[in-house]
Amino acid sequence: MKKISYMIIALALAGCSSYSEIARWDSSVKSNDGETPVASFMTQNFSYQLLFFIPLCTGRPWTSGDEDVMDDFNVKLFADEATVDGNMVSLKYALAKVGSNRISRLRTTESDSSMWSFFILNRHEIRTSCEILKP
Amino acid sequence: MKSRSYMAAGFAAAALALASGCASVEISSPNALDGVAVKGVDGRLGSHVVVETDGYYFLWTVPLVSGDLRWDERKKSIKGGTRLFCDMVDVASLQNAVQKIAESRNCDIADLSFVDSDTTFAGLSDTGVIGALFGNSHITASAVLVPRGASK
Repeated sequence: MKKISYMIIALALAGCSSYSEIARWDSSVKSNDGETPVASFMTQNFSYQLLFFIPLCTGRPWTSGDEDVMDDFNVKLFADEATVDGNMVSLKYALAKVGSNRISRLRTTESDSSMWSFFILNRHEIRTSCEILKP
Repeated sequence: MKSRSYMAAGFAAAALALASGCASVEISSPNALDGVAVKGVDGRLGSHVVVETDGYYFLWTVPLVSGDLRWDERKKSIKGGTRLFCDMVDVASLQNAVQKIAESRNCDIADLSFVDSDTTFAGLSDTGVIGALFGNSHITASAVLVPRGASK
């Protein structure tokens, strides 16, 4: 039991941070939408589950901090906030930071990896990216 | 005796994980994109939908387990399941799932994209040979639902 507890704590500290980035488009180059974006945005969040069902720990959506603070070691135990809704919260925070509400090419991908623990623990990742356009 | 119990528990966990984890549909809450505008879309945005499916193969040619996206009549939506010894990991299945979700909610689709990846488990075994015999294929579809007739 002690070993499992230590493992959960280690996972929480090591791998459950969320990561968000606003990359300002510092150029007049147009993207293939024919518009010059204001910035590119990317966010990713992670969670660990026991047997795919029981949430152990999770990174949290990006809701505070400066634009250049990208890694957010805000970890919550026994919850799963690595969801589409969570990433939409981060996206809205980024849009508020940039001062625009127009985006293009919104894309979210998810992946799970559990073979490393013989399916006992699952690491869930969810990533969202888009281009932020002028309002 | 003890090792047999561990082995049985491991197989049970693997079966449970495979049964639950080969295909999934995640749809954001309807107001998650309120106030956000997607280029080329004239109107209020609906939900952001993400559909993913996995397949496990032996020597990339023998399908072992595959995600299965089925229409759930009760929930009026697509639900993820698992099928043994068949391969349903293709863009057509995911596209069909996104289309059905959109139709059932009277929505059109924007920003539809697909991402796929393939991996082997070579890193899991000492020599890499056994793990390299098994492969995993994964495809994710992502789209924004746009309610019909919800123009600005």
